[in-house]
Amino acid sequence: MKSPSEKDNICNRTLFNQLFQKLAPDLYNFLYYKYGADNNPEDLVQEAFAKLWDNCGKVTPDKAKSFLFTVANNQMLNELSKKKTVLNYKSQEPQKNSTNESPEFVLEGKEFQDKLKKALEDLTEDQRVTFLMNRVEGKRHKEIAEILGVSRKTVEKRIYTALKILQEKLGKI
Amino acid sequence: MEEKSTILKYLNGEMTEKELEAFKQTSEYRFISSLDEELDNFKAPEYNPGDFQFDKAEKKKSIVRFLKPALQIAAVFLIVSSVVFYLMPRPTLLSTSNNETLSFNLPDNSRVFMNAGTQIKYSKSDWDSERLVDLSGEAFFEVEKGQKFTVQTEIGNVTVLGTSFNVTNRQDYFRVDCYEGKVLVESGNQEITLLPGETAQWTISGFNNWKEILNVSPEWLKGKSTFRSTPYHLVLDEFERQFDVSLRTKKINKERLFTGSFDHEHMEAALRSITVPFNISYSIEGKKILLFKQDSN
Repeated sequence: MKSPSEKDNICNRTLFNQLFQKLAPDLYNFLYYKYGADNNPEDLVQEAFAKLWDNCGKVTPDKAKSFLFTVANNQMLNELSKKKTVLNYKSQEPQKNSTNESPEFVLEGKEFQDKLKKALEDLTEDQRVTFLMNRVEGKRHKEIAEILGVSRKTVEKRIYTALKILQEKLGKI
Repeated sequence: MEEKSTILKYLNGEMTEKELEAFKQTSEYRFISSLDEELDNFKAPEYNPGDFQFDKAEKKKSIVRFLKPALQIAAVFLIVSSVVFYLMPRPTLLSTSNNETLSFNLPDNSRVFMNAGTQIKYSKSDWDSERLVDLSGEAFFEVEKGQKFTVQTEIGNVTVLGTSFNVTNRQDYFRVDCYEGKVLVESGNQEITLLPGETAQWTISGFNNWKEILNVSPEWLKGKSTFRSTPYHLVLDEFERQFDVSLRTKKINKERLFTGSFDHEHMEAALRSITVPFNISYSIEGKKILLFKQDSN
């Protein structure tokens, strides 16, 4: 148990900076997967933390995370010029020795990537961010539930639904 | 088809080695592992938060702090100015529509009689320092003695000290009749002083003035419109105003000068008064009247 003074105070610069370094990547990934690269996730992270710093006296450390995610999400939704979510992927060399030679995958390389990109963009924002946090960032369901402030059951439902949608769109196996 | 719970177990990395061995034989596993490989290309770029930039955040904060009092001042200013605007004296506006006359007293008890289709504007609060009336239309004034009294129209101004006079301003027609006292009339660079019984008139064709008035007040106040060398279209306009009708004409020279009068009592009698002298016929359909030349058919 921390002492009350320490617990209640994120106005301390060292503490706040620690909080920033700990939470910023998660917030960044959340915004990136939810709204895509074109909606300046990096700026939104900065703005959300600036707002937290502004209100550091009113927000307790255990509330800081949900404060940040709520603020960032609201800022995003308030943006009049919110762009359609566009996910960028790295241009890649054809992978010869990879497992995607499985006969079930008819589409390969660029063509498949485009199809996958489209399918991901067509998922709901919540499905996409949850699914990609699990599959790409390798986060456990419980961890995602904490980050997003929803129940583990909700996370599992989203992941499973997203998987089934992708399976439907990219070819039955 | 694998069970949902089995798939979720795999997706959460919770399988025992034995379970994993079995799951690897399924088509679900093959799809997911292939998908995972492809999804890796969609990984968010490496984000290195570095240190939080406090000065940047505080700069924004300080701008807000700096703006706050400014916004408060602006709000107070807005409220004060709207109250001032609301309380500020605004000119008094009076108007008559067709077939309507109105008389009222100005703050100094000078009396104004407004003929039909007339607007008058004056400022109550400025009245003590300046007796000024804006007129468009026709009105008769009985001015109490005092300082300068001015009637402004688009075409000319009338200035008096204490007297009674009639001012008519219809389109490009401007006429002043003096009934009592002395009236100074200005229009453009022309200036004329009228004595009782005198009239000054500006029409599009020029200026003329004459002495003829015998009465103490204009005819229209007794329900009669009189004209002297007045373009016919102005006569028709006045007729429309007095009876609230609309006149249309066919093959009629409306610039011809008309001298005569009509009564406000009976419309058809009045219509005869202004048509018979010019040999004009008319047909009446409700509020619409057509005037046409008699010998045209």
